[in-house]
Amino acid sequence: MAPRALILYLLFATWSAWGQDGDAILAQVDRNLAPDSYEMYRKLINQEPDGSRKEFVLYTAKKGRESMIALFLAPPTDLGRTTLRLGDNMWLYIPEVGKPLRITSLQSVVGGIFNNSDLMRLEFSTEYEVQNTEEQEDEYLLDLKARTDTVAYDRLKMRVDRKRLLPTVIEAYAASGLLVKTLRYRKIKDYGDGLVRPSVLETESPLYQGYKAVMLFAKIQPRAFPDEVFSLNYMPRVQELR
Amino acid sequence: MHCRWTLLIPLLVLGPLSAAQDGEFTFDADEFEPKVFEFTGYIEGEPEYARANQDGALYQLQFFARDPDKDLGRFTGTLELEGHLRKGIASLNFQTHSEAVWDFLGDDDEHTLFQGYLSLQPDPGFAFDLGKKAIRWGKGYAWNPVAFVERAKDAGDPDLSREGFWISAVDWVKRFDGPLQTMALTPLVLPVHDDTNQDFGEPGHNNLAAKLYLLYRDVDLDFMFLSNGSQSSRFGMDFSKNLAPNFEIHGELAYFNDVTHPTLTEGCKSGKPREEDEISYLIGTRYRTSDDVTLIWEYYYNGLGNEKDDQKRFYRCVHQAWETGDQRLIDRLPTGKDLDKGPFSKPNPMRQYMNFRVWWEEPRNLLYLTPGVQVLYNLEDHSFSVSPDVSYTGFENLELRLRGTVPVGDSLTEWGEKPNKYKIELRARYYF
Repeated sequence: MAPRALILYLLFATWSAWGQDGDAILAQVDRNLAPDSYEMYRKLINQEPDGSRKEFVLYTAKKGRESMIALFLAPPTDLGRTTLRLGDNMWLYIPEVGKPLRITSLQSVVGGIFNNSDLMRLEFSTEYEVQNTEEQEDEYLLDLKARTDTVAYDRLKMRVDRKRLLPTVIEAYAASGLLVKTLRYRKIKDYGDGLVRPSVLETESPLYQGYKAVMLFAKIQPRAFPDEVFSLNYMPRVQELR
Repeated sequence: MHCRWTLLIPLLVLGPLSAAQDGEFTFDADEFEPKVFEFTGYIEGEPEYARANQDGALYQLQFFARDPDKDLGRFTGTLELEGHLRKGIASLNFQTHSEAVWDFLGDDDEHTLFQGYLSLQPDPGFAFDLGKKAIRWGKGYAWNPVAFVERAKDAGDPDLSREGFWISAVDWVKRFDGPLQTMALTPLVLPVHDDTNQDFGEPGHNNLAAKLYLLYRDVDLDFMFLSNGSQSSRFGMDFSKNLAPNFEIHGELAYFNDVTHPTLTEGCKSGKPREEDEISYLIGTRYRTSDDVTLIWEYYYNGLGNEKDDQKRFYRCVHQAWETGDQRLIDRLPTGKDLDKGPFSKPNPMRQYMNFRVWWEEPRNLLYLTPGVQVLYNLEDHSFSVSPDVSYTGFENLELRLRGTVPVGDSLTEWGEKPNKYKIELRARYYF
């Protein structure tokens, strides 16, 4: 019995160590993608099979692991729309409606392949726990499971560049096991303040054959914000923040 | 570190670039730097065709002294302009609304300042607003019983922008760690005088109102009041909460002191107004399926609404005037200049309603297309309207919406007495 118990203990210890390593890797991936509190600009491009496109530009402010606010700067049809996320709570403010309404991470305020979860992701380690870590020659393969059912994708398979500890490819799966979308990070860029990370995120989905969604990142820089910026009352005034 | 220097070499060679580039995809974020003055807006055209319901009381009110017409056409052109001038902690904001209508009544145009106010914000947790501003209270989609300081919204088109009132207001916000995550207090003064906010109520009052917002254990909670003055005093609360990621529940409750209800006599004259304290409330849900279908359901009890018998009597009086051609009967009825604001002719004038709205975003992966349908149901007289619509946002800066409305109801019911048997409208809105 003793050798068997020892083997079981070693297996458990190894598994725990892998889990811990995985969580540490994921936490470092988050830190390498963005500072704890920052602002940035993003352009979202929805491209249809015939080549036609629709583009959106957002200004985003994030603080800590719970708070994020994003303001649409283009196109004119969406100008002034603002989304706020506080933990699992998400709201949308539309200037014509004049007050924030609760929304879910599953829906999309921009249409196409990107949903609100893609636009308002806080940090991977906030939303997911590492269930398995596989070490390969140039990369880690992390198997992530959503911490709560408010997260849009139940599982992620994340490929992480071993040297840079940055994600390269993420496959997002629904609870049913269906592959919902594949995200590819590309074009490493130096944003200053020691932040070197991908500047392009390409997304494809088997549910949208022939369609493509691209997110371009610019001006990612650390910035401290007062907590009150992340409140419903501040949503109509986010423009003042820039 | 080695990698970082390797990366920096091409950047140094190429010089500083603020644009992220991806082959054909480029992004120059400098183009979106904030400007001191920003100017935006939209222009809209809306042709509309309606088949007249000549037996409807509201048709008979509109055509009492006119030649009857079975086909009712209308074209509405709208221009809305918005501007923001920002300097330091101050911003000047305005929103104008111009509307021109061509229909069976002739031509008409109207130009209104919807909003125009100065805002001072020394800190994200504090703001002071002075001027004409649209305040929006309540969590309901079609109706808001706690909307004490705003103009009535159209339950069939609740997202339309509306004119504000002249106010001075303070907005104070504080965030916390713990179950109480956010607290915000918004007190305001709304003066009513001969030349200011006349349509709010009785002149000669500086009305005080306030709203307290709490985000407590992931529940949005608001408590609000309006002091006695131009209108009777009223108190209210609302809430909104996600019971599941795709299932939201919301509600509103309002208590009104000394509500004056208009009445009609059997002889079709305005009767002695009835004064009572009243409550109004709304309860609603919003559910989203995995196929991107959103369903909203709401029940509304309107304590300010008319009793069924009073409403029926109004319709009967209009029919009586129409059949006899007696203009005096019409003149005695409390219709007002604008039928949409008359106590018996305004939309949803009674007490119990249900709203059901469903829309499907991008069905079968047809990008930017959203078909939907709305049903508004009067639970007292069992009349209702059905409004299917389809909107498309795939063209740059352009939004298109095609909508039909079919009122269904017997004689002497709300939708049975509407001026049309059906209506089709196409809205094209171009943003700039």
